[in-house]
Amino acid sequence: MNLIDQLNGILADLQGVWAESALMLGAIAVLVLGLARSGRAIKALFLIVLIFACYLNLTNGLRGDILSGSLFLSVHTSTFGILFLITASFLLLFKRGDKHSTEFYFFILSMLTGSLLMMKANSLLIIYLSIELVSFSSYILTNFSFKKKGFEASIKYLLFGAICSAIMLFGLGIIYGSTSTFLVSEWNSETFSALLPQVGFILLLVGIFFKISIAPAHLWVPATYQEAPADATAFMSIVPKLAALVLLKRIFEGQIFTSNHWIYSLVLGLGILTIVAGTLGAFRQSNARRMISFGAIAHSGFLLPLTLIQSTTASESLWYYSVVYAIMNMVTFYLLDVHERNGIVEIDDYKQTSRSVWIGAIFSLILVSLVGLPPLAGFTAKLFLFTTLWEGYSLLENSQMLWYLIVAVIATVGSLFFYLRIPRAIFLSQSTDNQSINLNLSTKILATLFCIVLLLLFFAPQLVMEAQQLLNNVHE
Amino acid sequence: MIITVQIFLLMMVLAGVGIILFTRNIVHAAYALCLTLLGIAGVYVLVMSELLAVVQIMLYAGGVVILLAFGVMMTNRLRGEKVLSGSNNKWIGRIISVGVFAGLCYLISISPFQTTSVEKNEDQIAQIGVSFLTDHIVAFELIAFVLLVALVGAAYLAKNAADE
Amino acid sequence: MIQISGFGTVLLFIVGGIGFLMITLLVGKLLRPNNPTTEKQTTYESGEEPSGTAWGQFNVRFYIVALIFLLFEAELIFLFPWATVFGDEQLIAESDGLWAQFSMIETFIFIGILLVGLAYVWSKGMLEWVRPKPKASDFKSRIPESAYKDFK
Repeated sequence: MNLIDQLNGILADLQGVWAESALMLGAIAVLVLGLARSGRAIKALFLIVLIFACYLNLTNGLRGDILSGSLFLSVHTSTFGILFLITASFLLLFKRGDKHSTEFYFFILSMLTGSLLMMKANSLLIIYLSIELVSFSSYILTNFSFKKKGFEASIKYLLFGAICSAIMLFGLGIIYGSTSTFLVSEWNSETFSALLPQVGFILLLVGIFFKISIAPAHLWVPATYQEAPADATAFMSIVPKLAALVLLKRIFEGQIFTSNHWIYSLVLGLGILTIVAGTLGAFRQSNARRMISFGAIAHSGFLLPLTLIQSTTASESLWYYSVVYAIMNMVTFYLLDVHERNGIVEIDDYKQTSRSVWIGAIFSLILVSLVGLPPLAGFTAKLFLFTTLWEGYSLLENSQMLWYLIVAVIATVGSLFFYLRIPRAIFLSQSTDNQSINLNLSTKILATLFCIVLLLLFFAPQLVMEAQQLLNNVHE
Repeated sequence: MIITVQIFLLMMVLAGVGIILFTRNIVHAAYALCLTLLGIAGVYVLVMSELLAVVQIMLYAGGVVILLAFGVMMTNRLRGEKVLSGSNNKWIGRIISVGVFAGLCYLISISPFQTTSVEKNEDQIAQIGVSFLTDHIVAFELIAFVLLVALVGAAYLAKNAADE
Repeated sequence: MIQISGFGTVLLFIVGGIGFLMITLLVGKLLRPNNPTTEKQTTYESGEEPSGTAWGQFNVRFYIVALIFLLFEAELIFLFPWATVFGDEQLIAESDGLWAQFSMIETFIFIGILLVGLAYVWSKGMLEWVRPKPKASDFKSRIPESAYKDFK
């Protein structure tokens, strides 16, 4: 290709990465401002960067391959990008002291940059680099409590992540060696016909599954979620996970495997394993945050099949489930954080809180939504999921989908028993040393607002789909 | 002639790997790693990939090994004794690693790996330069950012560790 | 006829270096008398008794310095290929000078990002050398200051 055309092409395509560039520059600006100021100024700058990136993301009208195929933009990348940016802005609601604030927001912004690039990645190089960027930031954020246990969780996470990334790199090498292309968009049904590239693909999946926390690459989750600061945990449990799911969906959209291929079955099998591991693991926990983290593992298992089925229903339910999951997890960790600041960490400690009825009721409703019961949006998300699985079973004639559906239903019922241990501790305990925890009014209003949103999305689920259409078409 | 060099490099790599596998002294393992990395740099030279050879020597043999050595010397439990590594689950580990190695060797030997004949390409480094600035522009700038995050993270953790 | 490339010469130097070392050590081993005594095997033959080992714990700042070195070395590696093409007259002519702007801007962004890291580490004081802090002793001499004057 002519050089001048190529350079002009790059200049024209730059529009597609303005949002990421803004986040990157914003991260650097936060770092520089942090040398002079702390606290409020940093938070304000963080918010400005997010709003600006949101604007750039909305006004970007490019779709398809850009920058010589490095990135691939679609409806999903633009709408999920907005979802991530909004999720990040909710981190400002958490109480955070000035001491570590500069670096905290720097790493959040870099994780956000990495996540946006991860779901847009089309080149193997970008896949690897963006996953590493997200991982580096997560390792450091895990240790932000600067306690011995946080350090332990962080180093475990680091070792686990380093091995997963090495395995993935090896897989990328094998794929490149057998296809001699970096680009995911050039894969087709012939690419993975031989055994060696298939093995390479499995190794690539290890790295992606590590980010989604699919079993057996989920082992880092409980310790990390327990020891990281609550706001970092809320962010880590939502954004990188959903970004990796969008990437996975994009990879499987290329129709590289037929639905009876062994890799397809393997991925479904691991998804079932994840649901089982998450649900069974949650039963045995006494720590509230650890229990929620096992619940989050189970949710990854629920989300996984939505990336494998190629249909409009699957795309819509992935979007709906993701939005609801983001809201639920954000507010759950927010409430956990509020309680932890009052010394309520273990599930049994919640017995002391029976006087604060209002926040207890809101918390219970959120947990009911995490289980997936009406009348909350968590139910609709599960309903969409089950519909999609049934559709997958009848369309693809893949009996494994049916098994997936059965396990998912059983796990949903099972999750009732562990999620509702917190409401039971709050309302049904006969504890004598009741002390009312001090919650300010803004916390109550905020939690109530989130709860109302979850109710609203139950009664009007089409709002989420319309929002997707709207966000996708703003640039016109 | 070339076969002699190949055997020499193979011996170098294997000697390094052997020492790493069987020594319990971490410092010795770090130096042995240096030997292995230099051997691999030689392999890169043999397949006419000069830039990679230079990267291997500068970054890995020169940088990473030094960083490893510093890492070992920084550890707390060093006062007055050697740093020895333990090993657990020996037999399972051996079986799995040998199995994976044999399986991959077999797979690679039967598979149609895309191979190109090795030719001397004078413009190789220039071509890499052009493709960094055009085809892989996102990766190029992203690398700088990843390095920045690694630097800030390490410095921040080290500072807080040193302050306490 | 065997062709020796530039790297072949390097290899010959490596092999030659190792060979020289081996041979000199071997010759030395063969020629020297071997008569170890306890005194000879101590660290300092002058009689100084070393306490502990030479394996002390390093300050974490050494690690940071090594890390900064490594990161900038990685940056240097990426600048090698750039350096061979950024001023290429043929490429600049092909693209009406756009190539020159392009390569300069991209690389300045690349270097600039890492310079921010250096500035951060510098301003946080991670590059300052570790100095021992002298402690003021609270020992009070019983000899008065004026007593020293008499000796002058």
